[in-house]
Amino acid sequence: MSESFLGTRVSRRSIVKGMGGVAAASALGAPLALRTRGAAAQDKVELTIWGNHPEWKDPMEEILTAFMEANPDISIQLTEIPGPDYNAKLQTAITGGQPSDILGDLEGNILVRVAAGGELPFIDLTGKVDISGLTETARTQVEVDGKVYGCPLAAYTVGLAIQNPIFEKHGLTPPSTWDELLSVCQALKDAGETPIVLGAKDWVHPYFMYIGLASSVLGPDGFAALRRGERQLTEPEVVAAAQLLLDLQPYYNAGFEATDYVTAKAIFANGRGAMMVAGTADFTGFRQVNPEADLSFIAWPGPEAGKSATTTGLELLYTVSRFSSPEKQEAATKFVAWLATKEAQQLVSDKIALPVHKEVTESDDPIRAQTVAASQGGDVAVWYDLPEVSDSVTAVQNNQGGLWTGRLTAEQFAQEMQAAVKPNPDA
Amino acid sequence: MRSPGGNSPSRAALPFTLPGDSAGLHQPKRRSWERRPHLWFILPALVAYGILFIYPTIRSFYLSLFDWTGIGPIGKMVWLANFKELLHDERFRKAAWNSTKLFAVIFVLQNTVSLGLAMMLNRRSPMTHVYRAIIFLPVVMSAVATGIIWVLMLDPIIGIVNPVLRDIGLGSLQQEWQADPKWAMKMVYLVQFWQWNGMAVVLYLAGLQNVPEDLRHAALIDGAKRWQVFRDVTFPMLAPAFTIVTALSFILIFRAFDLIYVLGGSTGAPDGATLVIGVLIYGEAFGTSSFNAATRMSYAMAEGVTLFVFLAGMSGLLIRVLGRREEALH
Repeated sequence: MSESFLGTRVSRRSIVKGMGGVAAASALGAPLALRTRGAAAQDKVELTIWGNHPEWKDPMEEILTAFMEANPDISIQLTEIPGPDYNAKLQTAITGGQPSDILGDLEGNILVRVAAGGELPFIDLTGKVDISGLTETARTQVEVDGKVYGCPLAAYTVGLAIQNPIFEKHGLTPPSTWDELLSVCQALKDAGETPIVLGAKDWVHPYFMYIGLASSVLGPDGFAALRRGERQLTEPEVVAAAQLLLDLQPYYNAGFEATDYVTAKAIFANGRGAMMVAGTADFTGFRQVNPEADLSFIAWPGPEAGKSATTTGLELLYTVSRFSSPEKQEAATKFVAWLATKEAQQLVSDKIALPVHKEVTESDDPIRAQTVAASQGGDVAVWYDLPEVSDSVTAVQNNQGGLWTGRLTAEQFAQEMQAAVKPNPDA
Repeated sequence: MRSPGGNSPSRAALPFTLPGDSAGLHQPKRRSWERRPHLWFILPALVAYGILFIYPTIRSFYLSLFDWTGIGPIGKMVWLANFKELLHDERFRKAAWNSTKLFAVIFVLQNTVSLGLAMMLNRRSPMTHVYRAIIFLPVVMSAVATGIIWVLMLDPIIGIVNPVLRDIGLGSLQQEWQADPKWAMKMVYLVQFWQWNGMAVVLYLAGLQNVPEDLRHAALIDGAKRWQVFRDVTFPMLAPAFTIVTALSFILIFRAFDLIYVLGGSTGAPDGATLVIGVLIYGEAFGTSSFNAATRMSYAMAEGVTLFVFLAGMSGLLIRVLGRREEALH
């Protein structure tokens, strides 16, 4: 049987033959095309990197662009993942052998993974990444047993963010002691303002508030003594920090128990609250929500004058995935080595958060300058970074709600917190 | 050549073999997969199901016997220690109790409100299709999007529920809906029911359309009142739909996660008032935020295995009991 096709008699067999010819030609041509594409791809090594601050996407892109301009043979694709989802995605990706090439681990996790033993998800970068310029806090997070595994992106310091217009409007000055904090809160409340914005739904704010207030009692030396087991969170003067958390309850935003971290930030950035627990990193987010926001940063007020405190932690620790190809590992190592340089950390300081390089001390950003000044008063590491007090997170997570509902008193809360401390005399 | 009894062609002239034809008995025996070609069609799905569900489930049973955080190599075997700990875990008990309460409330609402709506929609009216679509819409909406919308609506600062109550003169009813432990779980009941109501309505509607009108009319002619017709004719005929609605909602509620996670967060705020088993397992397995990488993967798996066994057992029991009820009613 045959059909007329453009005036030519074409048999079904000839159609099949023709299709076979096209398929064969495609099969022959494909490798050629792939080779051509492969040659083009060889020009650039394409890497992936994940971040846990979607609000940093633009400044992170700028930092990555600076690296790519200096290394035109490397291209990096950034994916920002919301903070609450980041750990779940990272762990799943590591289990599946598919994390980003430049692997951003959470602070404290390099220590945990190395201590756990077994095959690490990142490679040893000793001798390839110079961390001698990094701060002590940063080095202790990425160097374990003499081996270097990466470089932190940035540091953050947590204290109190202030809405300047609200304070100016009511003729108030930011507090520096607990008594001042309470009286400022009362004055703001009397004036119809929300004194403190707190997002207790995901416990992050209460955690930083508690460790900030408790650190203002303990100070750096007292905190070291706590880690060694020489001091206790159940001592009356430290319990007072938990009590203050409770005493401030009338001054938090309505429904704070069910307000999440992100919503709390939006409420504060839009000027619907006068103060909020905030880290350096939060200010980028505040400005995204409200570019006109006029804010400043202060340390946690202390129980008495001169005893203010801040807590400092690290953003993602960037390492090199062991699952990537050798070629990608080499390119990713270049990036991590670059991140540890003064040049890269200056960019971090200007665009995102606090630098982790000792020689970068200035920033275009006034908030970061205020942060550095605030941390001079008495700065301790964010508690969960240190193995002796790392379980404090889970203790706050499971118990802070009890403070608000009356299930726990300040003393009982302090007992729960102390139970989470694993003292180490050598700390 | 004609067959003896009619004008059909003889068996020998047929181009195919009839069942019972002796010639067919001598054909080479076909292999199992040749006799059951449908197996080829379900094979890809079976393989995917095996890889994505059966294997992880079996593996979870095994890993629940270890002390493993989920980071690094699998820790030492602790046998049933995780399960023993579960029995004394206050948070697990609280989550299990909250899930049970949630099921009980949804069960009651589905068999009153949803059934009532289904009966109303079973009447013929020009707007019936529109109402059905509106009621079913939440079922197809993203649970996360639904949760976020409700969170925003119920927020005491930026939400619309409290201002609307105030504006219509019901200001005394304003609440901190999600922050007050007395109200938080009630809001979960409301939102969860709002989302799954459409499914129950559709299932009951399908059941109602299978109830013969004649039976109802006969009962009415015999003098039965409307309530008696419903109790003695309609509801017994809805037994299959009741079984499906109950079993499905039981499974859906006990493994509920996404919507409740958005409403109550990773710890079931406030103070665990909205903590359900799905949220608890997620938090144990993957941590509760980017600031807390503390995870207990094996413990989470023990919780998951316990839930799996409970759901499998209870679902089987439910289906058996409700199946017997169906038989008795018919």
